Amino acid sequence: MKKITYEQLTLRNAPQLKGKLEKGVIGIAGCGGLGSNVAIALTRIGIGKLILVDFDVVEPTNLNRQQYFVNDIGKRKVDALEEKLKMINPFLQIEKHYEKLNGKNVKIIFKEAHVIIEAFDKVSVKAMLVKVFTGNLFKEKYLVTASGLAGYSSANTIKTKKLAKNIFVCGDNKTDFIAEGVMAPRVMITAGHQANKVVEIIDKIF
Amino acid sequence: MKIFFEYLGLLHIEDIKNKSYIDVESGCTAAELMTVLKIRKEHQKFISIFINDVEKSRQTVIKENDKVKLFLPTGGG
Repeated sequence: MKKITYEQLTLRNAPQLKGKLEKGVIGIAGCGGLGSNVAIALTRIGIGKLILVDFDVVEPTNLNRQQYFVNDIGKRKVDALEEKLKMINPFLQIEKHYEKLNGKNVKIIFKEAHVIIEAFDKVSVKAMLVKVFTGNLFKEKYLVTASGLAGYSSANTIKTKKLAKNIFVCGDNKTDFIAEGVMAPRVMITAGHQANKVVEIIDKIF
Repeated sequence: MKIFFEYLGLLHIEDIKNKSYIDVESGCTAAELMTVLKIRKEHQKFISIFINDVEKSRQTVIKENDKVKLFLPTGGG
């Protein structure tokens, strides 16, 4: 593999972010459609460390929106994603957890994270992660969650909104995957909103 | 008393305009508010409650002019 420097990788980044992104530790809760796209966006711009959490393996039905390839089918998502991220940015630190997140382990796994990306598909697990942020342990952390990215209605309905001082939600807050399906365009747009909010937060805290 | 009420996500509440002032009884808790608004029980357990931009428990007593936000995420990811 050809060698590059971190400076080359980040040369086209916004100059005011110099020295900041490499300090950022971001938790990715779920490495599916949202999580894999957010992880790739943050890796490309030189984020310091990603904590990847997912209990699943790649399936053929994931390929319409998730950043995996046919030859990834059957691999753990955290492993398949790590391979791709390392090919983009060899300076990225990665911590992998092949397990389900719950109200207890989430606090241990994401202890080091400055920002956590909620990238689950099930409503119950999404809600669990938001509730964790009521605890004192997470009051200094930020959560960027997602709600409403299904179907193919106007991309311009996808927004980033503030839910609380440390919690943001990206999506149209309306569409649901059971009725409308989920596809790459709107999933990637929502993931882009989440990744962009991470950059704003990192700029603010460092 | 009047509170400012907003809801996001899967919630659709009949006869209540989103982002508007509504009247609730003095001493009303967040849990009681959800019951008054006829939010389905199976939805209530997944709802996050924010009062004045801070997440609060269901037992929190709402005060006059509080900004109350209910969030029920939609699925997909």
